[in-house]
Amino acid sequence: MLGHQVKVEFIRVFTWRQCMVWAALVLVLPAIQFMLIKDHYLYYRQLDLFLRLNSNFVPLLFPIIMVLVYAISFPSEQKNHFIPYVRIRIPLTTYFFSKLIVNAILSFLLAFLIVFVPFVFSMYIEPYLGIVRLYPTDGNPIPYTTFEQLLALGTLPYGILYSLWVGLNGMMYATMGLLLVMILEKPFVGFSIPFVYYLLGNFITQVFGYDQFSPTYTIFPFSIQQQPLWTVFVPFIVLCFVVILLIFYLKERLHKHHD
Amino acid sequence: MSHILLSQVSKSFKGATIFENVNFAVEKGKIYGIIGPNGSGKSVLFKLICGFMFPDHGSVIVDGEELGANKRFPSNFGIIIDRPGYIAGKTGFDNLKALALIRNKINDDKIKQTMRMVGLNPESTQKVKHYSLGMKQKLAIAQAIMEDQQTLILDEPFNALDADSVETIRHLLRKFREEGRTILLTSHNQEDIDVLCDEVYRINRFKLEKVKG
Repeated sequence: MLGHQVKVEFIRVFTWRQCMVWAALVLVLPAIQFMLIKDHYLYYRQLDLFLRLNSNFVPLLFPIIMVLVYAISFPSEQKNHFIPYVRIRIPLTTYFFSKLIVNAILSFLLAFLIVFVPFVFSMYIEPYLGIVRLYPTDGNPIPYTTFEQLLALGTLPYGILYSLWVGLNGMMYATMGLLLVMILEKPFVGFSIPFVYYLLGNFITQVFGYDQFSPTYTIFPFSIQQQPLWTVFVPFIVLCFVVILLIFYLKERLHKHHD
Repeated sequence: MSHILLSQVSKSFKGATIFENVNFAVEKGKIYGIIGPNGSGKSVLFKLICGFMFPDHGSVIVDGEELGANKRFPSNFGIIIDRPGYIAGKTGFDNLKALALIRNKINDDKIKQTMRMVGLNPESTQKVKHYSLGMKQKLAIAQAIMEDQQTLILDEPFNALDADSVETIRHLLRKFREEGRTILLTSHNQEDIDVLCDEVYRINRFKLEKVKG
């Protein structure tokens, strides 16, 4: 039953309008970013272009972008009493968990692509186009960033693994947002909390001098010197813990809430 | 065996009693009317029958199975409870399609046919947020009947409908009864109850009193 409902949710979500939103997130946002940065920075390596492409809108608004992928459509079902009419056809837990699964898959894919598309462009397409000029280092130290340790595996594996990492984080923030909306039934509050959590996490880690554990720098570590890879898992584990707690809370409260 | 059986059902909310030791049996192929003043518990009764809530005491049995024991919701029920439900930014057809996909029992033609049956245009690109109250009500009726549900639980199905539409829906409900479907409905309009219902019950002092049939 869950499998069928996941399929149904995928059928429902693939509308022209939704595809346009996804295209905007994956293509338009990085394109705007590229236009803004291409002439204003010194690039020593193609990788620097990729790092710069991921250092503006996306890191700042990451949790908000992630709830735009799919979760944003859910409140319209809650708002106008649609759910009781679903409930007579399918158990509420199956319905809600199918939405969580689809949200997780889509937000993972979109977050992956938001990083991977600029990566492919920066590393494999832009060199042929020659839009950005690379400068010799002239002895200047290259500011290596976290995850560049993975370059030892090759450029493409680095791109894939790093994009997977962003995908996982995007999935967790999107899941957190959708869970909160399901629990609180207040879309603005529910969707704001992941963003506030993200900003507050950055603020607290910076105040206490633990920048290497800030949510932003462990997903988009381009404004901080290279850190050991294990550091990125610290806020991720906390995030996973929060999401798991919310899942249990939703499961516990679901029927009480809708009775 | 009764199709639906409420046995010694009691229900209260925050200390306020709604039902006390209610017994109620529903046979297949009849139209039942439930009447009572606002807040008397008509919607609560329907929610108990649909498994949306459970009694504090007693049991609700549908086709021999107690709700809440092995069965959470009765199958093959069409409902309107409290008010029409919809996704505002979608068309009427898309709303019904979203619901129909869940069980995957009917195709687009059946959805369109049902929309026409209740007086809605399936080809309309009008979003439900721009529907009148009467059109939303028709949409609610359409979702309750489109999958040929054999039991209809209809809370105020004639709300906001114009005279012609009321006649259309009454005709439909009579046709369903002839087909052997079971219908429970509430209405504030006594005429709806009088012309449609085989049996009528009034909610009075936390009990169901039979007033007709």
